[in-house]
Amino acid sequence: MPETMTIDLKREICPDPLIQAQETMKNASSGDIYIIVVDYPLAVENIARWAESEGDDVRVEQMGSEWNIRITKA
Amino acid sequence: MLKTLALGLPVGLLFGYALQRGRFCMYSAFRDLFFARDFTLFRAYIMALFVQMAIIHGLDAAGYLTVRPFGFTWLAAIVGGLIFGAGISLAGGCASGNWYRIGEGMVGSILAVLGYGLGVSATFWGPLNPLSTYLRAFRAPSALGSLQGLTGLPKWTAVIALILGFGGVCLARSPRPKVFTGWPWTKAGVVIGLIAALAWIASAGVGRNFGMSFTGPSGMIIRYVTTGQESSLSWDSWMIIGVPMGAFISAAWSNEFKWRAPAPDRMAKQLVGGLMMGFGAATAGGCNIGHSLTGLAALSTTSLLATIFIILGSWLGTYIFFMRR
Repeated sequence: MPETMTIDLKREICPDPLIQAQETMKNASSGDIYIIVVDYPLAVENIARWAESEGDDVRVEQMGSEWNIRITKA
Repeated sequence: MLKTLALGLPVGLLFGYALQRGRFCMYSAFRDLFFARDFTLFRAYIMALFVQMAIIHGLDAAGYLTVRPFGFTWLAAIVGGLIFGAGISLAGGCASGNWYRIGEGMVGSILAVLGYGLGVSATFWGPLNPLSTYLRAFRAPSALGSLQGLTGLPKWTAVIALILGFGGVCLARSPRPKVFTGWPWTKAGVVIGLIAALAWIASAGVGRNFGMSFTGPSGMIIRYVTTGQESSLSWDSWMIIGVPMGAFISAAWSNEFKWRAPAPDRMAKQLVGGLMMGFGAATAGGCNIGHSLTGLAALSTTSLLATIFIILGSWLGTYIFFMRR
């Protein structure tokens, strides 16, 4: 059963957003949805591109100076 | 002083604006090669390097600029590069990365930049100077100090070989990442390369034969504030002051400015990282900008060596300080 999880990485700075996202998603199964919340502009792209390179589906939504990165595990 | 300000500050404003739009952090560029298998920012860096390289060597050939490599201080480049590289992981960004993030409202970057300036001052004029002087005494023959001297190729062949060989592979095989909240990497690379070339031209106006640099001015500003010595307010000091201002304009414009700070222990690490960056870069003779962007474009062997060890140091620092927890 796919799960939806929200990971709040606001206030974290490089390299933590990427490394914590990778750590949390290590045991993800196909179809799981992760919503990663960051407020660090660069981290949006780090995490999104890493997930893209894993073949996952990635969507990004900006809400003021915060971003939701929605990753559906391939 | 007015002329130095007028030629320096606008270049810094443009640079800060472009760094923020391009999310151009070289710590991230170097780290993601290994830890995210993502070459996007690294490609932007290579693009910026080659755009600048083509322009400055063209202007040098035409007699408008003087582009010369550094002396070949190989041990200082290796040790300083490694310490600087490990420092940027703790500081949460490279030299230019932390300077521009102040303009995004990142309080931790203020600490990193203060540590960086203090580290540079302590190394140039303070108690760390003997160690740095010792390391800088190891020199290889200056004929090997330029990449054309090292490879035995004529300069233009070296420039073209670099651009076509390394650049061609790097750019042609690029995937098309979908997610860009700022500028795509190609635009970031070209714009930053143009500004880096503009830095050479603007600073030639005050008789300075170099391009963009961050290490010297980070220390100079500390020296000016603490001693009042006006000569410390050089072209690059004014340029660097423009960087957070330009980034602020960009961040405010796109609704990305927000005062924010990481946890207290993370900020303490940023200060320590800044101090390491200061000692490392002052010893190596440059940071990710002075060496990796400017010195390498001037075809310095020392800059290539320093860049390799900055990259290795950033991987090592990321692993030791963040992955092993």
